[in-house]
Amino acid sequence: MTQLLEVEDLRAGYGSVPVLQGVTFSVAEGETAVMFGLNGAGKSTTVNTIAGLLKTWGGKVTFDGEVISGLPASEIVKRGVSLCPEGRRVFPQLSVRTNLELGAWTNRSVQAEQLERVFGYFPRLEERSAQMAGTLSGGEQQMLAIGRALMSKPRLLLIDEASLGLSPKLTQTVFQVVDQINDDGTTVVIVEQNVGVLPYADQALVMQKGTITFDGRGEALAKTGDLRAAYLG
Amino acid sequence: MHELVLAGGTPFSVQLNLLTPLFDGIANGAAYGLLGLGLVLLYKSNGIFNFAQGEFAMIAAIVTYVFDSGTGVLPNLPFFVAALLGVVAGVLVALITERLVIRPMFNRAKVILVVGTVGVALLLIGVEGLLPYPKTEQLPDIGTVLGVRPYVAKVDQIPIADQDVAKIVMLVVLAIAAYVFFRYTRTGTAILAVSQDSTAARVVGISVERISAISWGIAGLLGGVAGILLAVPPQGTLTPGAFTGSTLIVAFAAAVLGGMTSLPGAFVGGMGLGLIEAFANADAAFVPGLRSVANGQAELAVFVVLILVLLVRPRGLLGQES
Amino acid sequence: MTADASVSSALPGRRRLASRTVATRALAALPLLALVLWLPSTNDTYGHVATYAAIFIMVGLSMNVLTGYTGQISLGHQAFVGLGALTAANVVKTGIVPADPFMFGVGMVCASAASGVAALLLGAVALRIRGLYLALVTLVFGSVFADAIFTLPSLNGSDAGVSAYRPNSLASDYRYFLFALLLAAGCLYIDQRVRGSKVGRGLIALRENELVAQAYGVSVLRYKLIGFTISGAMAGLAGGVAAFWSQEFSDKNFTDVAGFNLALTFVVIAVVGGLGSRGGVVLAAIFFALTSPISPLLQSLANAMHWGTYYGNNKFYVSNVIGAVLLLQTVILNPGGLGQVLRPFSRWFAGHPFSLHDPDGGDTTAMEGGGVRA
Repeated sequence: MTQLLEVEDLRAGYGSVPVLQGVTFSVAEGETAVMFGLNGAGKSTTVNTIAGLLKTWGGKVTFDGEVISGLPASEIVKRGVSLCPEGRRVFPQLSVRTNLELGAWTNRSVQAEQLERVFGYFPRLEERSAQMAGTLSGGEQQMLAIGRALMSKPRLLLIDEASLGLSPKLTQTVFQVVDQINDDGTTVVIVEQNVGVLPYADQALVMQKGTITFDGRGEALAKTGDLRAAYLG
Repeated sequence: MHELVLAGGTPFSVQLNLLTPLFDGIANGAAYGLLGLGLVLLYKSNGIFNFAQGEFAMIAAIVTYVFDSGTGVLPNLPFFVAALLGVVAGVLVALITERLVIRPMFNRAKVILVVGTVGVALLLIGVEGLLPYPKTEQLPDIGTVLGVRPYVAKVDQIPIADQDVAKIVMLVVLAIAAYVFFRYTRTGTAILAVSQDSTAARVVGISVERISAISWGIAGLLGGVAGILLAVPPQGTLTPGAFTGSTLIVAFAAAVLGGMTSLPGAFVGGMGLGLIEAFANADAAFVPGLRSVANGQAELAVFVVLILVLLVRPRGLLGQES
Repeated sequence: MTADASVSSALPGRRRLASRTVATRALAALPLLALVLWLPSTNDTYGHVATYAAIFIMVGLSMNVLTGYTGQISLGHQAFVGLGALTAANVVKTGIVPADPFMFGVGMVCASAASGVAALLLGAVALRIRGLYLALVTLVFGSVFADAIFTLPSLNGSDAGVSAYRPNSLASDYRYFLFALLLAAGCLYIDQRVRGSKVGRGLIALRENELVAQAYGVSVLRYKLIGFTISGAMAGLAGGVAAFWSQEFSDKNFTDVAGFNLALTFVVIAVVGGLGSRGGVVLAAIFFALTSPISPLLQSLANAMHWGTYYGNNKFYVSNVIGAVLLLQTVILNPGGLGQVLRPFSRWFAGHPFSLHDPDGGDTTAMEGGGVRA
């Protein structure tokens, strides 16, 4: 299977503080990869760097054969990589519909079809489409953030800590929708602290102190003992 | 006659001539509104007060004058071409400010950015002062430029001057255009999005740098038009710092009154404050002793309005709850 | 910069040396002090400009108190300085004779008190208005106050200005400079004492985090008002000194475009000095006084470079450009201002080893981080 995303020895950080100390992994097209790790391990930094929000200090990121590390975020989104960032980050004083429409900023032509698709995944958003995003509940904002990330019809969807602060039931709903998004053809990399996402994953990565310490798929995942050991150190 | 007597027959009797302050107020109000539009725009897009807006206006007025009258080696161009160049100059200065001052400080505290704009204003005043043009001139009368008589009509012997009509028309046109831009265009929405969460905007593929430049470019355009209209007779001036020292301060108060987040508010606030000022300056001596001061009552009124709005209804007449 | 170095701190890298060393290092400042005291005596113009510098120092310290203690920037400080000048001139009412020394002193006190009260009023307003909007209010207040009050015929000598002749003992420019210097030093001393006191610590706690300070019982109201009042009082005193420096109060210096320019000059001094840094503000005040249109320094420089006439015709605008460029440079590139540049030196004077690296960051700009709410 072709590797849609290839990350090689990626290094990055904030200010003068290095966080990523050489991250290497790859994700095949059509699969769901889950990245675990404790706080501060570098998970968010990894997806932020892939998405172009952070500058790459070293190493490279290849998407569908093209090197995207070093490109500005707007270019990366145009090429089909979309990030649903940590903390949701909806536009609080714009309506739900406007939030979603902005998601299609780089690809206006698919706006209508993607809007329909997103409302299909999240009917609640359609109900609230005229409401100010800042007045939505946490769970609804999370759905909005994911929906917005889908609006540009990305080939790769990066999701950062979607379950944070959500009830167990809502968390499961979100995971199920992500699974469906993946079934519908979008490759997903999801950063999580909640191991409840495992059943939906094709690949599991564990990040510790800025590097990948576990990279497993298929049978290796079934042996969750290995995974737990790597995750909990 | 159009006069009003309040509390007639008592020691506090006050007689107001109604029409002159009305016309003066609307004309001045239009000036405040024009500057105010740029202020509101930048508040919406960047969350700061741009204290250099008055100087964006002045640069445009000076460039217009220089090309219109053909100073030194520069050619003498038709007024409207000169005006166009003036507006372009205003836009350029705004873009340079954005690139060199605002963008490097994007993530700093808002007050620091405001201090930066104060620095830009001071710098522009200095540069304008050093430019070799006659500082005591004005731009030509609009009536002269268009080749028509200087007033549109007269009411009760009081003329409605061409430039006042021009100011009001321009203000209405620009206010509507700005409102439509923000409400109905993608770029306008993107500007609002960047102001609400710049990281989210980046995530969605918006180039925050480009949007920032666009916001400031438009502010420069609005300031430029305002400057040209403010530099025409009779009260017009090309003295460096004049717009910032007097007009801009009132324009800020007008924007606060109308609502710093509301573009139509700049219009409403401008008109409102213009009228308040004009009536405060009218024949009535509300505060004994201050009457002898040319503008004392008007300025006091402006300050009182500002404080009242900020204490009682900070979002202004048309602004939104933040 | 306290001299209490006898107790050494337990923190590594902060070894304070004995107070004897501090005293010895202080001696290094003596030649500078001698220069400052001697140079203005050689020439009346030098004395005149040096007094101007002392006035700027007081205004700078006044802005410093406001920003350092309340996290606010004042864009209308010319009102407080002008009010001080106006009060001093009108209280003393010299007419055409030199001031009576007693009345002169009274005038100074009244100048300080008047501006203190005015600032207190502004502070009362400040309690309900925050951040950017308060900055705007200070701008409007400064301009309106000056234009409305200073132009009253009863206060501005019916438009001709109010004369303010110095008492005989201070008639010479040099003597008056020493007087101004003394007052400036006094302001520095007061600022020092306030900082170390309970009030000062409360104010800084307030600036850093209002909620936490309140939880600890720091009265927001009281301390903010105190900050404003002290700031106003210092500015008023500076104004009083200014009135007798030019020997006249003229509203034209404090109103309209001139007043606005003055307000911006004060902001430049405060910011370039490094908001919250006393040493930086003193340096900045001296610099801007020396390069102002009043001082012959730049004119001589210009003459030497054959730009004399050009500079002569454009003095005010040149000083605007200088101030603006330095302000922008400070704000964009070097937020700590001159204070940050000075820090290795001030630490050395306090007894620490000389090093360019600042281990604890120091009391950096008052307006970043926990500073101004906007």
